Amino acid sequence: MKIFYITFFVTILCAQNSNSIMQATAALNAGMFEEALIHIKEAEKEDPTSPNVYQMKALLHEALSQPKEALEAWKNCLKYSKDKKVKKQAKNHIKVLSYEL
Amino acid sequence: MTKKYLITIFFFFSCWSGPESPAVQTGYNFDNVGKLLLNIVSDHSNMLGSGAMVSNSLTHNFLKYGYAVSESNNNLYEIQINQKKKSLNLSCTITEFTDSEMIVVPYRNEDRGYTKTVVQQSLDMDEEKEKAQSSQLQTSTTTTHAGKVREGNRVEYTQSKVGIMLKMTDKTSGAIVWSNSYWYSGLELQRTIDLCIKSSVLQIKKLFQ
Repeated sequence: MKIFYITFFVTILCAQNSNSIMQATAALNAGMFEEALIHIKEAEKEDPTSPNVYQMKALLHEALSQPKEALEAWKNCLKYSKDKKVKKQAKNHIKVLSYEL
Repeated sequence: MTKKYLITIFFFFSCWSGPESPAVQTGYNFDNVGKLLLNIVSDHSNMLGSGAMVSNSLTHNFLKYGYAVSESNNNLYEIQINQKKKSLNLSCTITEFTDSEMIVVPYRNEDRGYTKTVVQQSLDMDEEKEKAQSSQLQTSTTTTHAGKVREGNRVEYTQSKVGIMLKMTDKTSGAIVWSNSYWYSGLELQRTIDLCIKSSVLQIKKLFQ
């Protein structure tokens, strides 16, 4: 029984790791931005250097009228991204959001 | 030789005003401008009604930042800056207008593996020494699974993207006095339009301060 509980717990833990970004995207596509934000925060904990996670997080904060949090996420996106297009987007958002704050 | 290089470098930097900064006619006095006449904004080929959305956002933002906005008979909007005589025509071209730009997020489906330890404990009485001492028998089994990483998975979502090009021309001479482009992206189209226009109006506001 003990073994069963341990195995069950480990399985749940692994499933959560791989699914949080998928769950965030699914919630985002359904227009459930607050739900998506919860999942993207989990994804951030698992991979704190992923620019894609920060990009999605920033867009979600902007959609939820949270410019301060969005600005922070864009800064992290710019820090970790190697993609020119994403960097350009992050720079533009930082500039506009800095105006706003 | 070094002097020539320095002059060339200085000349290059003095000409280049950066990719995001506006083009301004040198010597034009914006202090004499009292009115902006907003021309009709044409729709982008991607979406009918996009011109009206941008136009309404422009008037909304000018109003929000303290300017008087009025609609003239021929559907043009007049934005009152001050009581000066000069007027500028403000035209806006939508360069980008989409609500379905795809963002692809590659991710790793990571099974991080596990370490499973089963501990069995039992109490045995030491009968030989006939003492009430107890010895503990402990067996542990450790199983380690390294896990596996599957790459190549991806998820997709869409974002809106709006781009505009603004141009101000002197009404009497027809000379272009100011021009700049702006773009913004976001999850919701209306909010994206608003933020794009907002940054442009804020820059125009600075011009007349």
